[in-house]
Amino acid sequence: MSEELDFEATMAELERIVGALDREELDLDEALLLFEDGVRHVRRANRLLEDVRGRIEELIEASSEEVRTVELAVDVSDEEDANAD
Amino acid sequence: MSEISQFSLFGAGGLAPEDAEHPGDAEHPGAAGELPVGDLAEGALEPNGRSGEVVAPGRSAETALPVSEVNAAVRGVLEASFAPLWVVGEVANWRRVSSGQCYFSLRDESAQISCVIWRSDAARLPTDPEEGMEVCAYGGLSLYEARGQYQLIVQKLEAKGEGLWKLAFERTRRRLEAEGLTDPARRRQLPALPRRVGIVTSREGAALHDVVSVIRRRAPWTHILLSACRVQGEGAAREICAALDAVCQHPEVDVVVLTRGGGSVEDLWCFNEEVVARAVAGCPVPIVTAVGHEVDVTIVDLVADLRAPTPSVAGELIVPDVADLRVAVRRGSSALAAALRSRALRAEERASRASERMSDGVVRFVERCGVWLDGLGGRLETLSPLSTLERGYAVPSDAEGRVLRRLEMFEPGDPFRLRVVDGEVAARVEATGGPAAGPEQGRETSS
Repeated sequence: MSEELDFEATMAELERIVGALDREELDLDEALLLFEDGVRHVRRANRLLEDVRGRIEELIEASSEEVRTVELAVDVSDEEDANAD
Repeated sequence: MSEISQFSLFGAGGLAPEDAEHPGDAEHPGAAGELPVGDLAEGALEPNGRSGEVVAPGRSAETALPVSEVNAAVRGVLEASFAPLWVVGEVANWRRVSSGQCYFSLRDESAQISCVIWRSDAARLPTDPEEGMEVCAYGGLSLYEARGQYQLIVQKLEAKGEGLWKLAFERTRRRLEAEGLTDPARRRQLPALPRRVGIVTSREGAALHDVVSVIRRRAPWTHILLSACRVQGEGAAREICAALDAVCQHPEVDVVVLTRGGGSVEDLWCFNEEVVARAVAGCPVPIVTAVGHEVDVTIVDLVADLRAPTPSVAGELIVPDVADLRVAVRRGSSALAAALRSRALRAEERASRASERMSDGVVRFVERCGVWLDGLGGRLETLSPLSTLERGYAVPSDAEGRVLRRLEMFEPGDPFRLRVVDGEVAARVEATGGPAAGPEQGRETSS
């Protein structure tokens, strides 16, 4: 996936497509193409939720010119956070 | 030793161990006997150069002691006689001088004590007490020799309850409020789906673990950037400000959480300091604070865009849950299917009005649509309208792109275009009026 997580943009586009199908008097083939486009967006949105794992880093230096980071190991067990305070 | 303990020096001052007013004072026994030795013995034991005869200093005009020696001796007695102690009373005449020391009196209805707080201890006070405030002061008794005034050297000063902390809190709050920094209208919306979350906290604390765990569980794609700092003790306020400033310089950080776990009022105090509050208020990206436990409200909470009761909740407020997003995608795909269905139905109505025969074709087409749509559920992504074209359906249109729906739209000899699954075909009408079913009206002639 590209660096930007455009889930929001993808969903907004899907919404626009649904709105266009609802409102506009499209020819059937145009409607089909639009639907096809919508399906692509649904797929993309799902992919964005599946594939990606964000980086966990620590900032070690931030000057006006440069931002340096290092990988940070944080023990993240999914069970523990339910009762964390 | 025995001679010294009988010096009349202590008889007049009221501090002698045998003073009738303090017969049972446990702090006193022996003290007077030990102390003056060093200070007084050398000068006092050789009075007036009369060798061989020991005359107690101060016993006569000839052996009179200088004032400074008396005060030094008294000071020694005071300091050695009393272990550091807590004194309760009301604050009067509080003064903080430019060198950082504080002077005041502690008093009750009938008495008062002069007090001083040296600079390093004064710097630890959350704020200056108010006049008349009841406080407990901890320190040692001493004598200010230059003025012969005895005083309490205060190391700790506490108001009843958490009075001094509350007072400091209120003072800072009022200042920030006066500048409009606590105005709820200043609070910014958090990004619905942050790409990179900046976390300002201690590297070792549980708060970091909590926030990261929650973000990982709810929105695993989110990048996390820690900007570490100490979150308690002297100098923590400065470090927090620097860490906050640094994390905001990262171009992709679009929300920041400032957090630490629970602790005492003193532990959490740096989050009440004005300089930290101002750094939070000036944060260029939306900022969430989560300091201590649910009941702890700190000054930074008042100027942040959002206050979370705990670090874990901060994680929940910052990122959406992937499960909710999946629901949103499912809703979107259902809406998409419904939109196409209703579009197809409209087409059917129009077609049936225009022509029975065309209607057959369209009805069949719409039935096909229905088959896809009924199977939607989670399978939507596997479906494509183009697969219908793949099954042999095609859509004719004229040069302007208008779909040719009815017989009368076709004139023998007219060119038109056919959209098929993998592209378009140029075609020409040979004849019309035949009873063919389906959209493939013209015979294709390749161009």
